[in-house]
Amino acid sequence: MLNFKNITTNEKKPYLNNLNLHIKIGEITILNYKSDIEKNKLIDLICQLETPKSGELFIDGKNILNSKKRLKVIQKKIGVCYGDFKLIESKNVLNNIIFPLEIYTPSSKDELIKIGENTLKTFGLYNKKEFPLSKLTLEEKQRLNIARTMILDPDLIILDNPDRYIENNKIDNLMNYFIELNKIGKTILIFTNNKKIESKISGNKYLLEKGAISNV
Amino acid sequence: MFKKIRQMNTEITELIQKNTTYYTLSFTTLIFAFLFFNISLISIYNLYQNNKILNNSYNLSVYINNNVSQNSIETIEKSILELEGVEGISYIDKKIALQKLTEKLGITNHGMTNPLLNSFNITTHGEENLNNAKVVIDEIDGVKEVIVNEKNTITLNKKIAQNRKLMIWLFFITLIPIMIMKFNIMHSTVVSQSHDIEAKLYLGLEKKEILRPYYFINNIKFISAGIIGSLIFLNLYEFLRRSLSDFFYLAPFFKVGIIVGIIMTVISLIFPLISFNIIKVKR
Repeated sequence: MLNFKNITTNEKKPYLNNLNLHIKIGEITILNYKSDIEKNKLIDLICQLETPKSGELFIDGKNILNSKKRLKVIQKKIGVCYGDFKLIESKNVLNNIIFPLEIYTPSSKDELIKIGENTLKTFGLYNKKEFPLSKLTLEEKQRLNIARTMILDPDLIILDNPDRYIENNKIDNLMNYFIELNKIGKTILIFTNNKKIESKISGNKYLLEKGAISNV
Repeated sequence: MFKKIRQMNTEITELIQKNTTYYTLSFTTLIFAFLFFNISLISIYNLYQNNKILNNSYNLSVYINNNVSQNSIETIEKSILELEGVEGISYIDKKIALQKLTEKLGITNHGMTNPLLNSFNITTHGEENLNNAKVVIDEIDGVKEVIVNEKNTITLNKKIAQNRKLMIWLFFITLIPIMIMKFNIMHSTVVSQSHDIEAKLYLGLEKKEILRPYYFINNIKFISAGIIGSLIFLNLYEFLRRSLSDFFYLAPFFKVGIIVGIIMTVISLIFPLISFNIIKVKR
């Protein structure tokens, strides 16, 4: 599903250096990391916002580095839960969640709203659908972030510290939710250094350090 | 196509709703920037026009010998008019000159022998032409003396130099900073939204699509502020021109209107084209 082959990024002293990582379809993978920059570089590469100096990056069997443009077909299959939310401040809760649908689906506005409202219900945010983001707590923003990740029903789910700002007693439920998603065939990659999550999830575990990946 | 228009319309509405205060403030600042831009621009234009008038005001007096016939005087006049840089010539008959002088001094000229000579008052374009004309005219048969009004020349040179300095000063001290200010105001509209722009980029929207509503708002804001600022300026200018035209040279309203109109049209046409290149965002 996701295959980094000898990826080296463009800097003088590359943040990612000859990095290899292979995540098969339906796998759940935990990736510990030492540096935020290296982690963000990986996410940027997946989002096609960064072009490496060398190497190959396959997503769903397609080398996305061969394409100069961002491939909508590929991006549609990836849901990324960003560590800093990447929520749009000028939009309210409902408009934030339906934003990816507006980009990737031809559905009518009414249909989008219906899908958005249902997803908000799942994440306990329905009653705040008209709220501006400034009225949300950090935990609610994180839930919205995760909800938006799921809105397109992606095959590959990238989660950057999904437990951040989530109350301790809710983390287990959240992890169970991801495990259930994995059971129905979703490929999941979680960036975290939280031992609790590592112990909860039985999947491949890697460490991103000094620009390369090693087994934990 | 309709989806994109609808999407852009939604984006514009959301942006304006979210940033009403910011847009109002930057719009007002832009109007003032355009007002001061026009003040600066037209001041430069007026100084330039004023210098043109001053440049054509260098003068010298040519005195003709008493024994020169009327035909010869006409020939002299023609040959002076052919000289390079001569802007105007006026003949002063010695009788009229004496009459004016006695009127000025308050005496009667009855029975008085006229000691004055027939003369020409010549205006030239620039001091160089004035000096060249003096040398040439001095050599013409029938010319007794050529006198340059030195005091007038010095005053003109001083005024022209002062105006030039003022034009440069206005250009560098006001016109350029105002232009920079305008572009900074426009740029800040996009930069202030860099968080949302980056978020949209990560969510899969293309940079061009993301920036389109910002450019649309920016361009509308820029053009409207330009029109309003210019209209305020033109009203102000006409008021000032009526009040101050006795003291200073101020270019006619229609001329200023045309200049402001042309400059505003050019800026309004160029800005949308170059704004895509000037306003950079991350990535």
